[in-house]
Amino acid sequence: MTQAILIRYDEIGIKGKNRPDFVRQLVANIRRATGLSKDAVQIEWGRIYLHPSGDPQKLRERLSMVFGVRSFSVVLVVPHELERMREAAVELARRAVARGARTFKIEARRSFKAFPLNSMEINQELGRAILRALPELRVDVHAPDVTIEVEVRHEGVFLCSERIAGPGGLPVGVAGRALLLLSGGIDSPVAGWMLMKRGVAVDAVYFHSPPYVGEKAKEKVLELGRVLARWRAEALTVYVPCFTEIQVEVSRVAPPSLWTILFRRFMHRVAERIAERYGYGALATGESLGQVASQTMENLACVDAVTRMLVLRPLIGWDKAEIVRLAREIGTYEISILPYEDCCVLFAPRHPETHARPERVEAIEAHLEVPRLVEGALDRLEVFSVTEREISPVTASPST
Amino acid sequence: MRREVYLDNNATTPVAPEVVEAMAPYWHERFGNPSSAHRKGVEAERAVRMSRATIARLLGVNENEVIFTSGGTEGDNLAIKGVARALRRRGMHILTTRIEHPAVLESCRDLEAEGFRVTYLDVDAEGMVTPEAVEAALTPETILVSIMHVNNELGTILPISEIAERVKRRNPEIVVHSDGVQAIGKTPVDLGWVDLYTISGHKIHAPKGTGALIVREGVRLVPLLSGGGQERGLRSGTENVAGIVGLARALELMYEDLEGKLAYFRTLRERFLEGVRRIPGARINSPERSVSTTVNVSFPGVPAEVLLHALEEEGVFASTGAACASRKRRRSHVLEAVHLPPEVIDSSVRFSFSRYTTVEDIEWAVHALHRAVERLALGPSARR
Repeated sequence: MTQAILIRYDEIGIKGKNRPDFVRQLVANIRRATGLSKDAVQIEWGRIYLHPSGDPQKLRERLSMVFGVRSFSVVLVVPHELERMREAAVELARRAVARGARTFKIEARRSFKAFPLNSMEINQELGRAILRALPELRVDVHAPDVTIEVEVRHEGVFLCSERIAGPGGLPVGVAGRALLLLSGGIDSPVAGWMLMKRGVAVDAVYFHSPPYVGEKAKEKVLELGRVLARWRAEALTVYVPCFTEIQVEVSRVAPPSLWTILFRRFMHRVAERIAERYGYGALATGESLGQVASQTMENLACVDAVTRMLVLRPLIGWDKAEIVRLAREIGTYEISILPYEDCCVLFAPRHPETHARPERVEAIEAHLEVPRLVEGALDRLEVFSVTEREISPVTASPST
Repeated sequence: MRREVYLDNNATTPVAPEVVEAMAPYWHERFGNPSSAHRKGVEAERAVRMSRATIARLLGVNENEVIFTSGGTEGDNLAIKGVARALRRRGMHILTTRIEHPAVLESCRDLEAEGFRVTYLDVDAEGMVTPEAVEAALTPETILVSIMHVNNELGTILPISEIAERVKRRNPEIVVHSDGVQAIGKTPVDLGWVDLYTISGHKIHAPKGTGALIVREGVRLVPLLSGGGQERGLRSGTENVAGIVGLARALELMYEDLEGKLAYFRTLRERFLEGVRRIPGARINSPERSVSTTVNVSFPGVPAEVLLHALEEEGVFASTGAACASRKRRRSHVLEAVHLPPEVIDSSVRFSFSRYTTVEDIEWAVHALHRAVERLALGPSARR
């Protein structure tokens, strides 16, 4: 009797040509998250089996963070012999009793038709064995405390008693790459997480404004990146352009009510340049409609007007309370609320314009050397590679 | 050079070279105060944060559940006094055992002076406490159970996961603390229902003055130190950055192939026991269910201090009972608690191994022990 982990993934929507890519990416991500070797991963039709050398329970937390995993179970694997199957079923029932189960049922499936018993007969045989070994258990086919699933497959018989939910979604990497505008706030990390859940490989850009904003604010964003990196299965890159000159120039020529919209237009311009340089298919932000005064439809349109690139806003229809709930769940909330000012807060006017007219904004930008300012922000681009275990500066940054 | 065989690793351990290397940048270059807002501060704070993440990952807890301390004594004090003072309105009863480290026992004595009632559970001949015995001693007034994971003198492994589960099933409000100072790296640690867990750096090849208390989410503690509010307000004082980096590195080294290390310790223990059993009069005090790194053995009739001096002449360093008790010439409270006869206690010597202990060390020590016992059993110091 050996133990393995059975991973189930959703096949809806990934029929046909995408399927092999999906599975390949999922397996690669699982291996990165768990550190398992190639030999420890077995791919069968519609299934992935892991054969960890140590305690399979230890992989639970890791697997619950791999997008694309719908659910997983610790399974006992035995050969096509009724006696071995009985032993395994009794073992699972014993574990369930230890957890407090009183009733059970067996749910057998037989895809290996050469096996002499059909699924009904397997149910009866194993059920009897359990009742004999553990008289305190009773059968309940409607609402059992534990369901022991038995699958008789060509390669062996697999038994499990517990399905642990995975995060669902698509494996990170199958849906392209996006560059997330990551501030220190609550929303943007959540937006990044949601895109990763849809299979997007997300990296981030943070606009740093020394000396108006200190190192702590930057470190806070890197720390947010570290939390997101757990879900990415790979290092997350954080690009840190220097935003100071843009903020100083904008605040010199524009009325305070237009600062926010102008800053955002510059951020998107700079982000688009980084995206082009490093090969991202979209920008992403944590904006939701009307959530703060500046995030109105007019303002979003006014920002989108400066770039040609697709801008993904996964939180667009979300309430603040919903965003906060998810931020807590994924572990970014506690970091986001740390009190270090990000660049938006410091240069935040008291009454931002809610209905920015593009002509007016453009008229002000005519007083600014827009291309030079964008280039200037990129001249001093810092790049960090962030994993769950390490934050390290990347020195070589290929320039255009 | 004369051969030195250090078999007193339960007292303290040499700092691992890898640990020294990991700490090196944090003395003179990255010396910043983690609370400072500038880069020097941020890089020090990052080092503390990454160390915390490493320890959390290895112990299977959340990052915010790791509180850095100055070591085992502080961890035990913070856990026991912290919980008692936070929960005194709920009840005034504490449950512990007679074989705890003085840091636990003396913390309990201090609390008795504050009006708390403490039950010191008896142990069996192996130093074992059963979950049933713990459950039976709970009262409606009980707020805290503190039971060590591995005993420092005998090496006994106590079933803390089972004990914690028992206690929590009876009353989930009771806080469970365990002193894991002698357990980390010597037996698998599965905290399960345990709320508070003390670890110390210098027992696992990190420097003295380092340690951590694991404080599971939702456990309320009154801090011992007032000040700048570091460590979630539970342990004010500028972080020992280099020490913290060293602690994390040491734990990481411990957990690199822990299974392999435990197997190696078993080999050492078997070799040692094999040799010791051939010495006339040897009596093994450590139970079967103990960590492989601790062997407590007596040679009735041979006074332990004299035996230690004789061993030291051959370059072998071991200890009698607990290091602190030996000075006062008081009998070990642990060995008394397991009801060993006085002549067995007075001749008991503890040998404790580490991953730096070699099979040759063990053989050298066994020979030295054999010669010393034969000499002393006949000499003037025997049978007073």
